Amino acid sequence: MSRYIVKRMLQSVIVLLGVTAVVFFALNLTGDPVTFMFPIDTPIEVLEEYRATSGMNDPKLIQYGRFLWGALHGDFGTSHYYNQPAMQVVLERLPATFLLAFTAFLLALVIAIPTGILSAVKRNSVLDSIVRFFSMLGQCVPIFWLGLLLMLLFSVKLKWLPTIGSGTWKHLIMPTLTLAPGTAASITRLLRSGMLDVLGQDYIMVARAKGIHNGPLILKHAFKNSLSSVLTVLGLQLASLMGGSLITENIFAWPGVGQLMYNSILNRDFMVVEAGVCLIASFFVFVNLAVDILYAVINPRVRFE
Amino acid sequence: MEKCKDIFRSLVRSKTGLIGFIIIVTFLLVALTSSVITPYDPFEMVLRDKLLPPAWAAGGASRHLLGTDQLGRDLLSRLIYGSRVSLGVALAGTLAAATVGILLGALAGYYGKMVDTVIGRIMDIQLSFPFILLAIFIVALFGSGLRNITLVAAISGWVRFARVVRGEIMSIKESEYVEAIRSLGGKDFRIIFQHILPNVVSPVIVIATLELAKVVLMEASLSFLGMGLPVDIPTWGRMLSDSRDFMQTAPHLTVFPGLMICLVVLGVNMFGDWLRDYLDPKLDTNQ
Amino acid sequence: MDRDTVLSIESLTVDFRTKFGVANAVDKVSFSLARGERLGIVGESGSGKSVICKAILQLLPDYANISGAIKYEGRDISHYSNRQMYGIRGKEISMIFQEPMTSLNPLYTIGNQLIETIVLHQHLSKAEAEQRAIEMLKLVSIPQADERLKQYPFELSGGMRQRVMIAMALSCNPNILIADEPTTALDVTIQAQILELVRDLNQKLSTALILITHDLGVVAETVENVMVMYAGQMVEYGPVRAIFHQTMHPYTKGLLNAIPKVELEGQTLESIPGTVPSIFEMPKGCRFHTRCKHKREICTQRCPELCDCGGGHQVKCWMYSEEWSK
Repeated sequence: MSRYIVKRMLQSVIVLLGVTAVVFFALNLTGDPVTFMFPIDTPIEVLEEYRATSGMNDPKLIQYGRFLWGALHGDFGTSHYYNQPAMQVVLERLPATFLLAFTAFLLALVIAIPTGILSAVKRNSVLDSIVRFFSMLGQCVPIFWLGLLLMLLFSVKLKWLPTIGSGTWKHLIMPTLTLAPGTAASITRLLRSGMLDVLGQDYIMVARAKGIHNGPLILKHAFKNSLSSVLTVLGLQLASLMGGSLITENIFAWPGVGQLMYNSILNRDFMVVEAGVCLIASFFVFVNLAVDILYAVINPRVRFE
Repeated sequence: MEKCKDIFRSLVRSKTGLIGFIIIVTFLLVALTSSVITPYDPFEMVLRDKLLPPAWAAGGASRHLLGTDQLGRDLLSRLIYGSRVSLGVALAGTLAAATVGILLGALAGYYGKMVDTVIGRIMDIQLSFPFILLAIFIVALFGSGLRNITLVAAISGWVRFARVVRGEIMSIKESEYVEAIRSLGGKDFRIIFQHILPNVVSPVIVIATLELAKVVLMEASLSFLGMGLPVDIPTWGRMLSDSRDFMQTAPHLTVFPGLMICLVVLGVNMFGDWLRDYLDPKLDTNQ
Repeated sequence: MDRDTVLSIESLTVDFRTKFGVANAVDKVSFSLARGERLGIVGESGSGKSVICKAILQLLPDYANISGAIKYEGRDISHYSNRQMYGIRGKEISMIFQEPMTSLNPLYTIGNQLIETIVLHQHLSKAEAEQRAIEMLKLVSIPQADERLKQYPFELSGGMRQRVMIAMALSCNPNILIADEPTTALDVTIQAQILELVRDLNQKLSTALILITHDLGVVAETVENVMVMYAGQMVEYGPVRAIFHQTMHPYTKGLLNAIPKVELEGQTLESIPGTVPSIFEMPKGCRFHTRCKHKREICTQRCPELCDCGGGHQVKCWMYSEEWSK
């Protein structure tokens, strides 16, 4: 087991290195970052001086090394837009995105788990057809359209909820309702197919033959087995919500990391972009690792191999 | 001929597949004949008629079936024109993703070991970036416009193609079938072409169809954020973005463009699902 | 009858509703099982032998139609609700299946799965159930029983897993154990061990046994009575000696001739020509007539009636009816 964990951790480290490399070189090789950091009419001498003092005339690899070293310490330089350490700017926005992502994820789970299970157990029934249609629909509806429609209905027409911003639980409702359906649809489909797979297995028939009641049969025997196959993707869904809530944050002016990334890219605030992307990617990698380890814990066979 | 009948019969039996097919064909026809069937010029601004609601609502006019936008442009015409844009971009993007993906997947599958590991790591790194972030990152770096959107589609979409192609090649490479051919003196290159590629065609077609839907969504998302195609080209995503300022007075500007996107994506997905069930039911399209 | 009847199947018919039509898997089969009796049901794949046993425990899919009576200890359980069946499955009638490798849930320990059944049916405390589980493992000759409880299925070999299945099935003292091809997926040497184990347990615990197999050799040493099935129908029934030495039905004779025997070295192995008819297109009259070298016109017209030939030996074949010798 420990050998497996070590192997996965090593892989994760390599992936993270790759991520930082991509971020750094992509930003640095496509146009001179320095020119973007200052107003257009700044004299060249000022730019040159800045380059010399901030080490930007050194070979790229050395700059990358410096960047990497800084990154390990959480130092991504200073945001020229906010005049604060870049990472700090990102971290300030993190809780808002966390809140939104987790709430949407929980809502999605609450909808998807019973739906997916029931749909599989009552295969080919009317309920199953309805569920399958809606889960397909959920993955096809554009998030930005859904968000705007909700805004149209609840804010503009009914005036029940505030349009944009954050601060009260009322502000959380629409963004959550916008993000949840897509994720719920994916999870439902996955769970349904996972359950169908498991329900066709021999050991389920054997359990029935032993006299196990339907409830424990589905929950204890079938669900746990299908969960282990679904777990990896569940983790990815959560991580994806974290990084992918950009559009929702944009529509509802939710002050999260996604909105920050969008603005920073527009403002050419590269330090903040580097910090944000590295953070989100690290989160992805971490969630992946955690899910793989969890999978090994649940499925004893993986431990022994 | 028999195969065509068989395909048709299966399509008709699957209600969702049929509906999806009809939707796709409808949009294709609309896109292809757009220059002919638009009631108005999509770019023509008649400020006198701005923000008219759809014909059936109060204040609407029958000459503008779905109403007009803030610059007096006929909504229906712009929607029709938008279908041409969306489908064009979707096709270009999917083709790009498929090309890159098949190539890299083939390399990884055939040469294995180092090449495979490197490509695998690239996949991992790429998957660590959330999709939308990756997209705007690329657009911010390289600019917007059709060429770069195609690039974005290629970069975000190649992985699924590569996985499938790599899988097929690896499984066939090791199969006894190929070993038998090799021992009889068959050349590797021919083996790939004659035996591996035909197996790859079905899953690739299925994935390409589903990828088409994704690219439509992606282009719409980017246009919505103002990072897609140039401003003067009407795309559904951009229309949605513009509608935000007029939600109070002209909700139809929000409802219809989004509806179009939703319908196209739904249609393609429904058709893609039927296609997968017909061609290659064991294909895992949930990655 | 010196022992009383624990199971009585009366004219059991099972049909499956499919999109290609109605398929008949079992056609008016009747037999009975006495307490502690060992019965073998022999037939090829598709003969309906598994379907009968799954029908007894109501393990068939929704699209199966059962008619006829399944009487367990006098009560007709064929129309029991699922709830009522909970009290039968695993407790009164147990079943073990062919594939030991996939019959156990890979995510739970052996102990967990054994104790689950015991606690469910016998309402013992967890500690008492654990004791009983260890007893059962010892009964099926699994060494180091208490350590085994904590092991996962993948840590055990096929033969061991099958023993665990048997232990699980017998843990609640059922009156009937149905074994559906329990040794087909195992090595020959293990086969013999498992069959011997099953026979021993039958004698120790007086649990009636229904052993399903396609291999006549397997039944020879293990059962008292044999029922031969073909294409969903019973074609011959009798004590095992009678089936082997006074074989009556041409199909049974064919099966016996197909067993390789050392004494016949050098001679051609006989096989039954033709194949089992499609489940959707059963021939009219006797279902075996298409492959039978003795067939006459009456065989293609009417389904043979059951002929009782004394000593508990029965056969469904026109050759043994009065009309034949005319």
